[in-house]
Amino acid sequence: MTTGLRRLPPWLGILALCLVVLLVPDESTQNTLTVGLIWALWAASLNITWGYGGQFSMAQVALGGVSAYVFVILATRSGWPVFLAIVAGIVSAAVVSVVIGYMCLRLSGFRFAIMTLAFALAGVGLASSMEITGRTTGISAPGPWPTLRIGPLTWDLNGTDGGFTLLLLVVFLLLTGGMWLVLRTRQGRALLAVREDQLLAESVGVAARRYRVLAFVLGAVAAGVAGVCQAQYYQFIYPSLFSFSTLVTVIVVLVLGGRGLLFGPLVGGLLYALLTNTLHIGGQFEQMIFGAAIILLTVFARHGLTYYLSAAVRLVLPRPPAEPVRAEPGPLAPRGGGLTDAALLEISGLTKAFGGVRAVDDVSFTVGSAAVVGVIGPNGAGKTSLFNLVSGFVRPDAGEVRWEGRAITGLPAFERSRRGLVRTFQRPRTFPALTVRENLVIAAEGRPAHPGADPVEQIVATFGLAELADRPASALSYGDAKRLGVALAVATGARMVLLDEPAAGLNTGDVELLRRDLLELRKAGCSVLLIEHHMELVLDVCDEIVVLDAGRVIAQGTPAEVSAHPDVIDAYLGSAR
Amino acid sequence: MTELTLEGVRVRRGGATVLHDVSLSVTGAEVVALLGTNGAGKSTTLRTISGLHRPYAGEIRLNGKVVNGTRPENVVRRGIAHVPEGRQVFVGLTVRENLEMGARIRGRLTSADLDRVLGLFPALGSMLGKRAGVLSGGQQQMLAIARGLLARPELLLLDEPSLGLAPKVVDQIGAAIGQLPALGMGVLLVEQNATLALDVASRGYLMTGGRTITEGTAGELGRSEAVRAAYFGGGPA
Repeated sequence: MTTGLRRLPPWLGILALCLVVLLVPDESTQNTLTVGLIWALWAASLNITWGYGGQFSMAQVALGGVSAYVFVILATRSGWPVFLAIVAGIVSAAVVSVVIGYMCLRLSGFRFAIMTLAFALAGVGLASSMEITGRTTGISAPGPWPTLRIGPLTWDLNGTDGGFTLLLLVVFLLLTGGMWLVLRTRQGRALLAVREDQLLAESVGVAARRYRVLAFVLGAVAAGVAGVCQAQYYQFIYPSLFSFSTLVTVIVVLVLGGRGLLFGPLVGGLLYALLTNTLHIGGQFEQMIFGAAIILLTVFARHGLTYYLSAAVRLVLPRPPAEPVRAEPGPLAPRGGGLTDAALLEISGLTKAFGGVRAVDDVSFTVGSAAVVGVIGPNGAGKTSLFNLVSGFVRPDAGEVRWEGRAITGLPAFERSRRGLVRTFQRPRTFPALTVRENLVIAAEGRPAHPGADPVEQIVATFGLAELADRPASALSYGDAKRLGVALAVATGARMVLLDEPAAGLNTGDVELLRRDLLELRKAGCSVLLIEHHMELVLDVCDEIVVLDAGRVIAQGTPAEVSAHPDVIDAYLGSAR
Repeated sequence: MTELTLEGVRVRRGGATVLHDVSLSVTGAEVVALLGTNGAGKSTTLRTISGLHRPYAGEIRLNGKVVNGTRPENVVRRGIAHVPEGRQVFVGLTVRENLEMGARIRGRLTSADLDRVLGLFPALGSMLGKRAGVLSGGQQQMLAIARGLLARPELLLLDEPSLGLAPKVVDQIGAAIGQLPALGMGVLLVEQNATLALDVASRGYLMTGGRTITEGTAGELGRSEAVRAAYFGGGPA
């Protein structure tokens, strides 16, 4: 899946083509386009929630149904002006989505999908049983829309001459343009970050839950638009119009066109309409050919047709190569703070048990500003669990974490990250579909403004990522992904980074670079809490070392003290001391 | 005795050639190190041998027979086991079930088998009934290696076995790898810890940019300028 961040220009040609086709007054072509555009609107809605937000919502069509019913009921029974009723319909879909969103968004994956499906089925059931919605029979739409007059121009929105089709195209372009704009903002990038890796996003300060709700609500607004258009097209609505089978078609349309691509819904919708409207062979053959076409496209165009079309367009019209950005390795300046004697991080009595095993057992120590503190211990000693507690990814059973003198034990991970306490992960985590540079841009988003060179380019240079900057993070080797992980934490402008085995998978030369970076960080006033098995590195850079075994602190002190401690030698170092 | 040979192997991934020319050989009676910087293609080479990538040129021969394009499960049946980097275990299965999966290729998990791997990784002993997903990263790495050993392959492909392990365990693993040839198990070892790799290997190859460029005994490689540049010279790959 690609980001769709830079895919607009080649598509202007396709749009021009659509406009030309619109001028063809052939009724059957017109009809195919209209149906295709309605499918495109539905798919665009799912594309926002699923393609960009990463949440497979099965309530999309039902949310559109809410909008359609509210619009029709207000316009016909309550006598509201049509345009006001449309707005009310779309707003209702958004409101309902906020309610469902807060109930479902704690869940993820299949559980989220099933929960949203349950709401959708309940909604269809409700519409089938109420008087006001016309039960299973349905209700009629408010009839033709008025003609728009702008100066000498008139636009018949119902248009036998294509006025309605043109309206659908304009609406689709507005939605897509809006999404294109959103994706270029900080919020849009955060949305993609949450889609790619929610834990990593939280670790660099993105309020993941808020963005999941945002993706759900934006998708619901688009679904609301699609619902109103559907009602107007059919001039009649009934519950099964918004049922499971419609949802399945919307999923097929989006997957065929290309999920996570701005024009995927349009290509998918038009293709689907073309297949269904032109293949009038009749009866079961039609279904069979249709099924075969979908199987072939799913197998041979698994990224969606749009992906391959735009690759072809780029072959014909290659984009000029981007001007390489040159930056000098910059200071790894963290946010203010500076050197003080006060403890930056205070951990006291921290305890966490998993299924009877005390992974972290009454651990207490402090880390000052601009200090490098190592955490070592045998495998399974509880080092990563300790990081999970300190960074806010897991709640402790007992004990307290204080940051800059204030208790933060109850703060979520993204809040701690925003205050300058940022962790990395043992298994390297990245935003895989985004480039290395886009990864860093997201991490640097919360960084305090600092005069001078672009911090992202400085980090790219400092961490030696220049040659990899435009590659998707998914293509990085283990060691490079590990290095990117540290770069992401530093890019946030952290006051303290919690590094979980940053040297694992790095060769000696790269470990040397890491050593230099750690010392550089300390010089810049940033503290480091370091889990690492590379003893040369630990003994060399750490001011102090805490040794854990079976969840408890068994030794603590300077590198010299710790490496001579008999318990440490016995439990951990062996002959490697 | 098993002999695996790669000659001029080339592999393409996502439109780009990632292995340009890989030639090496390893027998069932030696530990051979595959050295190189990050992204040099070492892991890709192991994945190609185990059938996860298909070469578009060159030959992979097992005991003289070309085996290009053999499916991964059949590569295992021919006696080649792969322990990939990054602690790949079946997280939903218990530690014992993971070990049974390793022994499955040649029958049941015997108590002698179990004693052998627990002798190497005592930390796993108290965890046999726990789901592998709750193990720490280092314990998962031990489990992955143990599973590979239990397949009792003729050739073991080990990708970064020391990754994330405590120094004491790294010592033990080094010693264990060194003993494998005597048990009739050859090893192709990818390891960022060059000291460990050259300690246990009798000979090795250096890879750069998807090519094997140097070959030599462990002693020769330890003194080689090219190896020093790749491992100790610093600078990102």
